[in-house]
Amino acid sequence: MSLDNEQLARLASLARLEIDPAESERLRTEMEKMVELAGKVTAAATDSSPPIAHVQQGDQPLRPDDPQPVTDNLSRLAAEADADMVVVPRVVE
Amino acid sequence: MAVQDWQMVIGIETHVQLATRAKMFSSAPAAWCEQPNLQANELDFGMPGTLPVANQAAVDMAVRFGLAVDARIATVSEFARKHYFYPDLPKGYQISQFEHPIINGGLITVADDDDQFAVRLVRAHLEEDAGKLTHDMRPGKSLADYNRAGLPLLEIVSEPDLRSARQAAAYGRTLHKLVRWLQICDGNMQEGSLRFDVNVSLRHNESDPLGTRCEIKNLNSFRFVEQAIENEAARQAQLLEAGESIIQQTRLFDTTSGQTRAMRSKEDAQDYRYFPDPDLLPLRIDEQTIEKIRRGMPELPDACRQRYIDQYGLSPYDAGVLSAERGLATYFDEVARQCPDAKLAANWVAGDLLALCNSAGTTPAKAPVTAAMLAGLLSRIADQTVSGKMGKEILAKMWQSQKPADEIIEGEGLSQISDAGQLQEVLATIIEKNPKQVQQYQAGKHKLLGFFVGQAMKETGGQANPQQLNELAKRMLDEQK
Repeated sequence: MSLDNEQLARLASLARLEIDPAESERLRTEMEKMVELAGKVTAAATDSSPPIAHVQQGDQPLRPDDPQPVTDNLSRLAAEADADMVVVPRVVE
Repeated sequence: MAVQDWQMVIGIETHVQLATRAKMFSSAPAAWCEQPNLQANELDFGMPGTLPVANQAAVDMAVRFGLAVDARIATVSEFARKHYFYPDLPKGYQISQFEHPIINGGLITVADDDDQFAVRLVRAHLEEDAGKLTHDMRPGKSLADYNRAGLPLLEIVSEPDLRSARQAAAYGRTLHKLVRWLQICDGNMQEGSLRFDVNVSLRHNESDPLGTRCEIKNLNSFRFVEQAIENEAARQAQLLEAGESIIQQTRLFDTTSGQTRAMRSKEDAQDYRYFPDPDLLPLRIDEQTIEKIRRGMPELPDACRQRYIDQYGLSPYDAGVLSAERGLATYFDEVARQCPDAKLAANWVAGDLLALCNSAGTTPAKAPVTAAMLAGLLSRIADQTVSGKMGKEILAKMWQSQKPADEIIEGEGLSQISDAGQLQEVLATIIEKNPKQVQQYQAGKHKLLGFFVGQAMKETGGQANPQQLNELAKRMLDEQK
């Protein structure tokens, strides 16, 4: 299956990614290969296999309810912080 | 036609914040913190390379709820990613459960005054909460605090079985009581520990197909639930009667105007692109674990209320008051166990003790007068060492001093005077000093008996056994004839 530049741009927009035009051709080719691989997976006969949620065997380990203190205010890593909070573009009218 | 010509059909999704100490998938503390972002670690911030691990206590609490509502507990359930872009969700997805939730089915019985009805549950699933945004601090900006991000939630989804705003609020109250009783949620509505999303549609008759519904999100009080439904139903009725159709949409309730307004419609509804979370393996709960949790379940509120009626002969109203909260019920059970008269215990716990708790802003469990101390006082009332009236004063002193009743009774010489000879002596003096009243009494003014009893009470500092005093006074006055 081929992937055109328009589809790539839409996917990038959905993923909130900004793609450098110089890189788009390489990315488009790589993604085409990924789609092709997915095509192979879907072609496998799975009618007799029950659906699974995870490729690994095993169960979810559980964590004891034991809180660990947070000493570092991670908002300091944000592009912009104010009053110990992360500053983001306004999201309400 | 008006709104009352339509039948409301209501289903409710309830978000219950589980009372764990740590978060759902991270080890950050779940306790409230005023300082922004100091209860949020790398996982809550959605940092790359972090891995979520589910909290055992949250899973146990979900099972406890499932057992309480007689639901099916899934021995295998799955966590899924629910994707949406919003700055309150740093990972870009919320970990939730989709196709295979932990709790399936179940039934909640609601008793609202004379109305008793059952609400079927569709499911209940575990998920994590989002962060909190503040919009009014910086022009053109919003500020994100991730302390709430990752707190464990149990989302309880009902079938559309509710038929009025009042029923919906009663369902909410029943759920609120149940999750507090099970000690899986602190029930603090103002802090958002319990939030309701309400789906409302209208139709004419029970047999009609369901109408198009609108969802009103994020209601955090029973009053708002009731108001939002009433207003939304009136809005829908007006549109339908004008020949218009309802657009399926999500709406917000404006608590100031009391109206709902559109938030987003189905056309631009989000595709959440659910898929099983590759970071989390399937959640398996074996039968032994379920059985262990079942054995640790408390008696449920309805059973407790019925037991008070059957075992202690309490009225349905009193039984309801005493089983309103688990702490109160435990306190009452302890008093009733130690006190010879369960009805006396019921009256004192539901009356004086609760009044003292309310005025001191405390609960029976934390009251300075313990259940054993109150039972001690009630035993002295039951054996007539002190009167009920004196008991109230002694209780107030116990509350202040935390001393047992017997110590106060003995220390202050408050024992009731039940010695007939002593009481006769007191009455004889009063009769002698008040010949005019004696004459009037004997002439038929029998209400003057109260005068003699009152004088004798005054003379004994309120310590005379009132019943005995009454009988003696009557006999002595009658004998004067």
